[in-house]
Amino acid sequence: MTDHLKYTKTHEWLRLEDQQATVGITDHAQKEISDVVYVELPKLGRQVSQGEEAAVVESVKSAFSIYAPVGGAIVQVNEALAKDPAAVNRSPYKEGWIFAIKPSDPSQAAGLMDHPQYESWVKGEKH
Amino acid sequence: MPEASAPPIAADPVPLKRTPLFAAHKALSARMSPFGGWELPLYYSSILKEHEAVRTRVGLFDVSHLGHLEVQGSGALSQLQPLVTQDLNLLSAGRACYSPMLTPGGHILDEMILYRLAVDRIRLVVNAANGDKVLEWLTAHLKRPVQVSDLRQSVGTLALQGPKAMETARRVSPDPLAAIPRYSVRQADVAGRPTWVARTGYTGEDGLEFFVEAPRLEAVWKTLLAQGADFGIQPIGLGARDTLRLEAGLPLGGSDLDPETTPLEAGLEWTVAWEKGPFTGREALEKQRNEGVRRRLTGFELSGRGIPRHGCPIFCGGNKTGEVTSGTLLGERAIGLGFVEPSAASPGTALEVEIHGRRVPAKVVRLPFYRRKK
Repeated sequence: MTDHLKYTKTHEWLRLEDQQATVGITDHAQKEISDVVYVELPKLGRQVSQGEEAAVVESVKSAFSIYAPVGGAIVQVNEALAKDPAAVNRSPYKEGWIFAIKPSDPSQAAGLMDHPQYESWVKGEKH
Repeated sequence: MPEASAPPIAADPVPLKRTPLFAAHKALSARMSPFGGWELPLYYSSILKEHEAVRTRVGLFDVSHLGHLEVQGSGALSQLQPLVTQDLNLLSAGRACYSPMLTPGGHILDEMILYRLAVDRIRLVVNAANGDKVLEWLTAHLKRPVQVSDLRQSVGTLALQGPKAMETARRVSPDPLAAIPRYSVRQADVAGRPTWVARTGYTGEDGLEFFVEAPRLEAVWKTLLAQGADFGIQPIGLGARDTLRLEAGLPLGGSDLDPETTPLEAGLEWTVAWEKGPFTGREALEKQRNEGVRRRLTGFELSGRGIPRHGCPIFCGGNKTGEVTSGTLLGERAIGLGFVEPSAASPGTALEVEIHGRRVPAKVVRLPFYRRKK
């Protein structure tokens, strides 16, 4: 299910479909953050550039920045997270998606990691 | 996934210390984290679940990072008396008290619990990060025959806290641990050996703290976990220790109290025994009392969405009045402590807390945020 996604070094995933890119955090990231209690969503229509902070995921202990994996306009945000932030832990790739971007330059996604590359990045980061 | 608003942590050049339970924590799948020079469990299952376990059942904490220093010898109490703000003449043998220790400038050098184990024997349990400082201070001020011993390597602390703590304790000792009064300490048989047991804690719940020699720490830890199983005992990490103490309105050294804080600013006036006579820092405190404090540690609750964190600016009437020192979100309730100007510190005062560039409405509330039902 996660094989066709693109990944960033900052542990976001990106699903590209129909000119729109959905963004969330990886299973590895949700485990690291643990107990998500609040998600600060971006405003609809906001323009973000690649690597810009677009959302904040907060656990009991700390706040974690979520960066836009590609630049573009925020076209959807997951309002359900307001009532159910724990969806980020429970279902990081489905119910726990955070926002969707209409990419301004679809080629940016090509520079992101694929699943095996991300897996080895995570392994390397632990050392 | 860098932390967006965590306080900066200075790179620690010395390796982190580990408690004798390090392997036991790893075996329980603890997520470890640095704190005060120690590598300690942040959580085992989840901070929220552990918080809930202590509020509704019972939790066991390894707080062996706390530093044990012991002051002994004829006249120990009277030599300590001018070094702390509480009146130790009121501390009879077997009693404990919480007290700041001040610098001559009236700033909190450390805050600690003093346990009078015997007439001339006082155990000081101090913050991990301040152990060296307190030891130096004591060494410089105590005179023979009074001596200070450093027990930091040899004694660990286990805290058993929660509504089922006393029932759990009953199973690990033939002695009546439930008969130990609040803020008192007794030697009791625990898991077959004499052990100092105190009715103290840092969670806002009833409970006990066990002072255990390092070689026996794991045996006592395992006994408590096994005997508490029927009551739903959980091992509790530092994450929940922090949310529990915050909810109980207890300040944390290093987070809420910095080296410039005085007890009058920190809401610790109740620990200052003005009638006791001279003590280090007294003149500076009197001056501050007469002139009035410029800032006051204050509890607040958000009415908008967000989580206040250490360092978030606080506004009152559109002007910056201070900064958040601790904050968290518990259920629907976002609470925090922060320093604000005295004019903004009365309960009910409308504040705003700036979180990720957004000003979120808040109001001053009376501490503690949580009080246990007796």
